[in-house]
Amino acid sequence: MVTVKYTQPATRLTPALVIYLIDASSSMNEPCGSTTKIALVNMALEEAVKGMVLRSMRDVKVQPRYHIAMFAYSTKVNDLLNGIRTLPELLRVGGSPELIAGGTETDSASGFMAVEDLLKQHLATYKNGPAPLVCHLTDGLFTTQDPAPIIQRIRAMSVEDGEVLVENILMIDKMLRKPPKEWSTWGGVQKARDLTNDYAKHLFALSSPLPETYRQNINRSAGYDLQKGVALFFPGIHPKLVQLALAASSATQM
Amino acid sequence: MQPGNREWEPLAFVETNPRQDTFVQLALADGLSMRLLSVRCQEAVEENLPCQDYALAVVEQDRSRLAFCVCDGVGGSYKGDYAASYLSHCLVEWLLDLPDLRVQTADLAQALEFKLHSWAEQGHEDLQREPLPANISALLRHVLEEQRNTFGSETVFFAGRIDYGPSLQQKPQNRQALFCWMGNIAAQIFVTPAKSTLLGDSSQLDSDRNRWSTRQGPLGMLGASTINFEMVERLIVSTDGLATISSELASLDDEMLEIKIEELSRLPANDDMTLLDVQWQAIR
Repeated sequence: MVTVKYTQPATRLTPALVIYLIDASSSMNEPCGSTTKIALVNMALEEAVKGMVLRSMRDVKVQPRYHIAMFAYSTKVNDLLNGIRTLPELLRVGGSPELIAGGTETDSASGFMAVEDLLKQHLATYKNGPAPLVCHLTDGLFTTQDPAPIIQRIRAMSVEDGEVLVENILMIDKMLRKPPKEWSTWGGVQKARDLTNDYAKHLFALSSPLPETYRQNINRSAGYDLQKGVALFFPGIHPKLVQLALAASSATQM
Repeated sequence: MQPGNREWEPLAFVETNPRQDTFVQLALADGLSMRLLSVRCQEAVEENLPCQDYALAVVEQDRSRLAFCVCDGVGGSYKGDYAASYLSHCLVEWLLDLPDLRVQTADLAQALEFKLHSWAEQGHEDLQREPLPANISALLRHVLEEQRNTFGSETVFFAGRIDYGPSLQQKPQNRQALFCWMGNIAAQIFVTPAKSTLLGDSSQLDSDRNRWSTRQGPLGMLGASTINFEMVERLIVSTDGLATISSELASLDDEMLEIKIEELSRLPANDDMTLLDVQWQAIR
């Protein structure tokens, strides 16, 4: 019998754990359209939290259906929320903290190591909930060791609902071989050959497949056209795309 | 009744209480009996929040007709319990005011569509007058305002009127029923204890896209059906919190029903559960 994975809804009793891992190296201060990459990330994180709030409302109260951790890395790793916070706790401190970029290194490996440690410590707590999701956002190649082995270890961790999901958002231009005219009709990245950039191909290979249930939820609620079999890999070169990518982090069943 | 100005002197007026679990059993004269059950999900119990399902049934003084509505407020909308309660009262009042059910279903559906828009306008005005809670964060206030202004309060519903004449003991003659619905509320009509027909659109894909909103009125498909009532002996209407046991509901006595509900309440994804079960034994 085939068990359908990634179907567990985020509930108060079985909350979803979402871990954001954000590259905050100085290159994130570079322009991106009419703003900077880091400003775009801050805006998209706020939207992602709003999305979780909307999915967690009962009457006019926010329910703890999502638990959140947030790390920023450059030369060193910062645990921005001091561990895991429930969504209502996050709202009590004003929502997603504003990220400031700086630091010369892009130490993705240390960032993923912090995520791995957190998961090792807390995974058992989430064994009956939706599979935890790690949402990694960066704008370029790591400058220290390759995080691949750590990401593979993270993806091998699992709960009943499925293996831990790793999503990658890469904020670089011209990585898609065929950029669409309209992002809302973009089908997502299915194969490495859809990409032009070697690092994009590397991160694509390290990304989990987008669970079918999540794909349906995103297409339905946000009006996108992601195709079956795409990866949790997004080019973060457009505000709408970053929002889409972060929406994927909370696209559990309701 | 909240919305209208109708004077109500029914033989029986049964409604659920959003603030606490409800289990009402009524045995009316002439073989008409009813059980109405509504249980809040664990999340609502723990946080002392209202049930987002709402149900209302009215039997008129002369016992000639029954009108009812079962609503399930949409969780992702603003205060789904508001739409559920408000629309239930509007629909039951409208159903009881209809002069005759022996008209074309399409005409009734058209009239109802018009009403669903006008109730939305009034309902949304009332909803916007209610202040948001004090002492909430700016982000939450923003989300709530956006939710209220963009979606309003939303609900799915299944409602109906059953005209069974002056006495159930008499031979059935031109008995009529009207049912109307939007969204995933399940309704089963039994012509014998073993043979039933499903009404509503709970079995259809994406049925929860059909809903009523205070902000936009009816969204999606409005369903309506008028049927000859001579052969009907039981009607069971249930919200999606009971979806996994909907096919068993007819065979569950009160004790078994409570056991099943207790089991469902322990599941992580438990939802509000509401059941309206009407039987008229003497009709056949």
